[in-house]
Amino acid sequence: MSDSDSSERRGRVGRSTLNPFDARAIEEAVRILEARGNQGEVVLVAAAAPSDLAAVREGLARGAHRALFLDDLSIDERDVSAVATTLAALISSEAPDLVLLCYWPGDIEGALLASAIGEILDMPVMTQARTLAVDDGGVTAQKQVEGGDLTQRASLPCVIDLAEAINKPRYPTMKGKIAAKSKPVALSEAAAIVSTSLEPRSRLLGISNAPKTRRREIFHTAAAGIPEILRLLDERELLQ
Amino acid sequence: MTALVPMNWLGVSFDEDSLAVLSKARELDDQTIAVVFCDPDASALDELSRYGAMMVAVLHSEGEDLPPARLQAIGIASLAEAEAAEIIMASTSSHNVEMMGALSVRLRAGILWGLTDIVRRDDALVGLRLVHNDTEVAEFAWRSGPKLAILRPRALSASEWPVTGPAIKRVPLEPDGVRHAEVVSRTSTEGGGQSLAAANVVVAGGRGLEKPENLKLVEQLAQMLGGAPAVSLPLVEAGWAPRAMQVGQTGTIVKPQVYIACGISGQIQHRIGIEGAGSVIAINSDASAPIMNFCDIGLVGDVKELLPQLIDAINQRIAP
Repeated sequence: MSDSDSSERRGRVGRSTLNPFDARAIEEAVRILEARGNQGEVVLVAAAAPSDLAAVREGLARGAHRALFLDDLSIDERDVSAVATTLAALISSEAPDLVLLCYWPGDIEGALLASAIGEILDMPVMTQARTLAVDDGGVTAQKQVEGGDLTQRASLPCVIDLAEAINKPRYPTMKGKIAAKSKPVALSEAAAIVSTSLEPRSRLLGISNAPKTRRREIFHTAAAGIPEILRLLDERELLQ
Repeated sequence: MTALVPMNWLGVSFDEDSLAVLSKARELDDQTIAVVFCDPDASALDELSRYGAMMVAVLHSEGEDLPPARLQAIGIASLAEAEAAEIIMASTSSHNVEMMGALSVRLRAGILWGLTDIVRRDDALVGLRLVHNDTEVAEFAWRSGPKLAILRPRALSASEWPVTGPAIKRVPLEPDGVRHAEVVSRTSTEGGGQSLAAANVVVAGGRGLEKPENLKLVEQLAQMLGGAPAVSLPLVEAGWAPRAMQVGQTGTIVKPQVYIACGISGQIQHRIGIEGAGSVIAINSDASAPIMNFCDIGLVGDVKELLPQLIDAINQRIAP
């Protein structure tokens, strides 16, 4: 899978290293447990190609306790509904208190995935959380919205999509890496846990060149572009 | 055929994007239903009608000025079934995205987002989305209906339709037993952003500046051109600058004559904020950064060296 396909699923599939967004979600889960005296466990849930197992091991090295890994070679052909259905089936088998996901800023598919998972599991959903406070009664999260900030609260269990700003993940320790090798990873297959159809509900008809909206005069020897900038500023009467 | 369009009410009018989606829906389906979440007054009704609404559905729940996304999804799902809707079209807002994700589950419907247009071809609806840094356009078809679509911000412009007296339909939302998030508080971004929105020239700095003190170069250039300095989201996150200085989808949408992006990669949420700029000049060390596909003049190089050079060159030109 390329870095960016027609669904713009960058960073979500086909990587053998943990992507920085998942690393943040794992970091946040580990921190929440640390703040509560390490009561409970962090379980990683992945639906991915077998080559992505290395990324799951890295997540375990970062402090997660165990993982559920659904071997799905077709994952990159699944649409958001199928991915949500698959992940929700894995998640519900664990009956967790908190489901954490993390995607990059402006990732609409990521936010759709979180709200679809919440709907399937009948859990409250909060997306793009920049801060998170967990107490016995529930979770309070703050996000940036158009024109301001929004603070919301939900009772447990709930689904939370984290924003990139949520934390700066710590590097895995050598001890963590060694421990990760013996942490349990339960393998399963899609057919065994999902009974409904995972057929995509939309399909790509074709791709063609987009009309050019900007001049795109690129100067690889940057200094040569400075006179061009001056000319443009001059044209717009900004050099007076 | 029937189209449903959830509308974003801004207190005095509906937001431009949702009006644009509404007028597009009317182009595709003659039965266009605007979905609102509080009682519309006469001028709101007039606005909805002017942008294509044939019917206005009022979904309201007790004590909520904006019902939670999960509740909205329940109301819209039942309306879609009652009206046999062909398509549900929404503008991109963080609230709409949450609502549409839940709706796709409720209706078992295919969902396409980031669409720049929807066209009818051989009697089937086709969604268009720009991909690969906006250099290519991908066409998608929905396989199962009703079709769900989220339109990219500012992709469409609102067109007016003859005003009719739209019928009003009320759909009460029943919150019983639905677990959803509650709003604790909502704050508006403090002023500042307005002067940015109105600026004739905007010079913005991003991660490529590397150190907070290099923001001075951005400020200096902005001042020389009679413009406003700005930053990208990561610099706000890093605490280098206040939210009021942020350009982008969740910051300020700017429309200057000239926009100069200094060390900004140009992710989609940033690009949405500058789409209306007259000319875009980009300085970035990475020739493959998305901004290089969305600029008029692009300089590939170290912004920390090039900004002083540009400032010197301008100084020489404007020196008496």
